[in-house]
Amino acid sequence: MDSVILIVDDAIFMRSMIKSILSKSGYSNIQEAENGAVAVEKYVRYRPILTLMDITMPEMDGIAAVKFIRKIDPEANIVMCSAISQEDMVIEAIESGAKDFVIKPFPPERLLEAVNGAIGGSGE
Amino acid sequence: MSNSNDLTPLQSDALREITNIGAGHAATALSQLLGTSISLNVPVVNVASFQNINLTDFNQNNEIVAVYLKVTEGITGKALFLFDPKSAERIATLLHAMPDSQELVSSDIALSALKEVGNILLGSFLAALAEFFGLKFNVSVPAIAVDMTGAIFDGVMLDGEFSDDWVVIETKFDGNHICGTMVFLPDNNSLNSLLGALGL
Repeated sequence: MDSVILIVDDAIFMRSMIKSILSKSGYSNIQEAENGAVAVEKYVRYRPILTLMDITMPEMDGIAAVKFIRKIDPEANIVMCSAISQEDMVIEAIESGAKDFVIKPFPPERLLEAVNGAIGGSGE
Repeated sequence: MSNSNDLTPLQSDALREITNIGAGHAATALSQLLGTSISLNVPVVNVASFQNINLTDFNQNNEIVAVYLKVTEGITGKALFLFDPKSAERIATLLHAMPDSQELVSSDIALSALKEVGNILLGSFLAALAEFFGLKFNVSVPAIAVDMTGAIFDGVMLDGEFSDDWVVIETKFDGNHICGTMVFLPDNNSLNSLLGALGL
């Protein structure tokens, strides 16, 4: 089975867009979660090689989810994808264990740069 | 300043200027998202009773598509991005999120796309303001509604703090058959912080 990438965003449109970018670059095994709580559940179930995490979401936000996931797996690869680009929020995300921070809107190349940088690959 | 009715011409001018900065960032974000050039009109700053908000391009009884964020920290208040339905459909189409056989209101993917566009634009606007003033901000999860302008603002009015009169900051975006209006309603504490930071 290909390694899983988990996309976490409450907007179905954004999940679809990210999934499309990843699929075109050869990443075929993709799971989705609509909030941080579901992301934690799916992380435990699928152990993705990378999690792309929005911040502002219902139920559990992305920063809290990063902290949960990093407790479960201190080596988890997580990249934040958010429209909220304040410096202190970027710092909090990185300090919580995120490896990169992609600001929406982003060109596909920027997303792929962050994905490949986090997992050290160029597609499956 | 304790009441937004006290806004002086100098303060209005300052609010217009800082709105221009934030809106410029949002316009750039919109242009990037849609791959088309979007320009800005000079922001309109006015003081209005919330029940009598009279946006320049929207009749109270016209249907609009509205994305709403409540700003809960720092530059607190309410922020909305408003699209007329034709512009909303055009944006969804440009983003390949408008199914051929469905109306906008019944398409989950189209509404999700518009909600995300509004979220990104408002986030970009607020981030620019926060950076300018050295303030933090935090926002609610975005909400989207398709309804009459009056009904949208009635709903916004019922969310949290109520003030009889608010400073209404309005900026119009225009380009390639897409029009949108961003509205920011800083609450009184936020307004005092913003004007205080400007020495006004």
